[in-house]
Amino acid sequence: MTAALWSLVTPEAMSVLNWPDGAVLYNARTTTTTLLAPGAGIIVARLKAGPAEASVLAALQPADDDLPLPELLDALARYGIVRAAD
Amino acid sequence: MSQRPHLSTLTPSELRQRLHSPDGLRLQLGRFVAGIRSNFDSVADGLQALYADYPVATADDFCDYPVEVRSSGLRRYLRPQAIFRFEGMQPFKPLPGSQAVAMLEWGLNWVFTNHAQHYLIIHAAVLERDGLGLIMAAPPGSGKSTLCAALALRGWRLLSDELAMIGLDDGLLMPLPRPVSLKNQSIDIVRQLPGEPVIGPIAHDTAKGTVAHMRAPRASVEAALTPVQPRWILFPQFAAGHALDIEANGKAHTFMQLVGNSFNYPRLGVNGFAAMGRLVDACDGYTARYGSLDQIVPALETICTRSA
Amino acid sequence: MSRQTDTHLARALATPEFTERFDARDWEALIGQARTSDLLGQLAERLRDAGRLESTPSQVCFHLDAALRIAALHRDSLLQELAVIGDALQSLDQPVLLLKGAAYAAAGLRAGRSRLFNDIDLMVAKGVIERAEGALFRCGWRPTHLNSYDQRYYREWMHELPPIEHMTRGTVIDLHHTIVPPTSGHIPDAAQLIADARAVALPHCPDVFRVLSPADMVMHSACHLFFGELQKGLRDLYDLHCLLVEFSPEPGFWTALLPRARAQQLEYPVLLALRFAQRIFGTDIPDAVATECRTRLAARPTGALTDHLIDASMYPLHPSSDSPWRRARRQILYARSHWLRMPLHLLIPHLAYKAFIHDDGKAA
Repeated sequence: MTAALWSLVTPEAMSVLNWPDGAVLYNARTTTTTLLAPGAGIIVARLKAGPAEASVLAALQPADDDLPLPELLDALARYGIVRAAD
Repeated sequence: MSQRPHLSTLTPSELRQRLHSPDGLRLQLGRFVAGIRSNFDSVADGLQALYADYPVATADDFCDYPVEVRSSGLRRYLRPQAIFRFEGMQPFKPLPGSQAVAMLEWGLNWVFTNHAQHYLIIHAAVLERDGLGLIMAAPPGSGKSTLCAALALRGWRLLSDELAMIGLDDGLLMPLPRPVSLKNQSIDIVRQLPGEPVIGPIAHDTAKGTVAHMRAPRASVEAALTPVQPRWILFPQFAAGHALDIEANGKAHTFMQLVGNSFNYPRLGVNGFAAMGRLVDACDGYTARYGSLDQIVPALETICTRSA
Repeated sequence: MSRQTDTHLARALATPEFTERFDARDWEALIGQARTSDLLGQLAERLRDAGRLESTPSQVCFHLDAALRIAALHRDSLLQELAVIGDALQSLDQPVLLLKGAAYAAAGLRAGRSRLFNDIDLMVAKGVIERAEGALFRCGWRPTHLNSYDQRYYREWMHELPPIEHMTRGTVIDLHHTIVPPTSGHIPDAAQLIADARAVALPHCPDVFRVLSPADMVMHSACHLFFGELQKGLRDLYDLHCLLVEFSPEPGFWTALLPRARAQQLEYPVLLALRFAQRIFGTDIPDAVATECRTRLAARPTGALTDHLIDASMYPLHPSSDSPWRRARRQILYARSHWLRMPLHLLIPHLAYKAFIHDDGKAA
């Protein structure tokens, strides 16, 4: 999984704002606003800039984040926010 | 604008005449001119009681929003009903005639929230202190309007009791001071506050219970064209007998709570998202639980000072 | 209506310079008419393009600007929605035609600028329509008319399926298999319309969408207006005016229009469209076409009466332009629109059923 490339599902339609208590994601395609945990917000903000490998994303995760990266990416994928790029 | 006569300079019969005329009574509400037509005496009385300090626009002024609260047909004599119209269209169902004054207020709120698309509009009371804005957002029944009336009577400048209008271009709060809407027991609570509150006609048995309005302070009406930088966002929760408990909120959580209280956030797309982000960035957010005005008012006067 | 204000909107759209000597009352009539006709965005666009905003009072500009903002939001959400629909229908591997507003916006036509969009109208070949509906169901759309009478009415007698609505976003799609109801007695060649359609490319969207050729687009817009209930008569006619102005320089457009409409048995609405666009907005129509239009309309036995009725629906439903006599004529037109779309033996049971439902609703 470290070699996998990840991206946002619809980067052109997604905007994210990060604060210490969490992040807010707006998806213009689905017209939804979602509250994300701080660690998830950092990952999404990085992917907004372009696809990234899991190892790059792992380096961004705060040390105190209790969710391991694979589980976090899996959860974000289930909500239709990120996907493993082909 | 200061040259324009106030509504209080019209005699009761002049006021009725204007309300019956095709152009209506041209009332300056913040930056807008509403053209109000009505054949209800209660609307004339309500306007006289609640809008005495508002400027009346001249015939040369453009009317932004023509509205009408009218009883019509035979029903007028049997069981009068109040019909609200905007530009001749009827956006909602009639109400019993006894609620004509409240219907005018609700109808105006509908007009502003559906047509002033330069603003992110949140269901909230807005006041100013030391040149900075406090936004109090809460669902009905949380004591927001009572608290708003109490602060206005203590000299805070009232921007609005119902609509926080945040400019999409400048991020500033646009004032739209109008009467403060009071329900049930809060009518008596406010009536007994110092600061000489003026309460308008009382409507019983509305969908919201007993409803009355408190007149906006004159100084707030006179400052209605000066926008305000937002600084504090409060989610008030009144519960009888509760001790005071104020908690700071994170910005992401404040954002989500405001989304839930916004009238037009979904319609504004990514512009609404950006405006909400800018608002939250500019403000400190709090949740306050309280059991009496004596607890919450001094606490807010400590929090809401320019140095904070 | 004591002052002569009832044609303010049509005249300002046709000739923005008309607003030059406006006073506050004129502006109020104009803005009010545009609000009630869903034409405020188009009016704002027209005044802006003609350089009239500098001489427009700032209070009025506020409302024009509000309308442009709303229109931009409508356009953005339409394009987002089309991207979702494109994804959903890609697997059909069939052309999907956009009709009306969505087509004007997708093709970048003047008629789509600063316009409001409500339902999204799509057309696919009749043999594909149920599969298309299934694909949309899988992406979150659901039927809005659950009542079995309405379902049967649409599926048996109409040129479209009952509207479907997205579960969370509330966006509504009308899925058509041809451009007029088969019960109207007009049977255009849908396969030909699809074959002649032109591709449009949309951002972040699979390449599935087409729009009708210029002549067909005008023909459909005219059918929609004159076979419909004419509730938004002036707005729909303004769409047609914009289409005609934009297609006018295309080689062959004017020579193809009437023969094409005749071949599809849809000449009558196109003749009416040309006549009223010219009358209300002063649309430039080549002399030969205008003459042919006059001759053919004059030959129709009920021409003068229909003309008189339609004229009433080209005034905005606003106090500054409405009158009881115009309202009465619109009522007659409403009944006429149903008679044009349905044979009498179908119309009477349908109207009776609708009337029953309405009374029932009121009593409840």
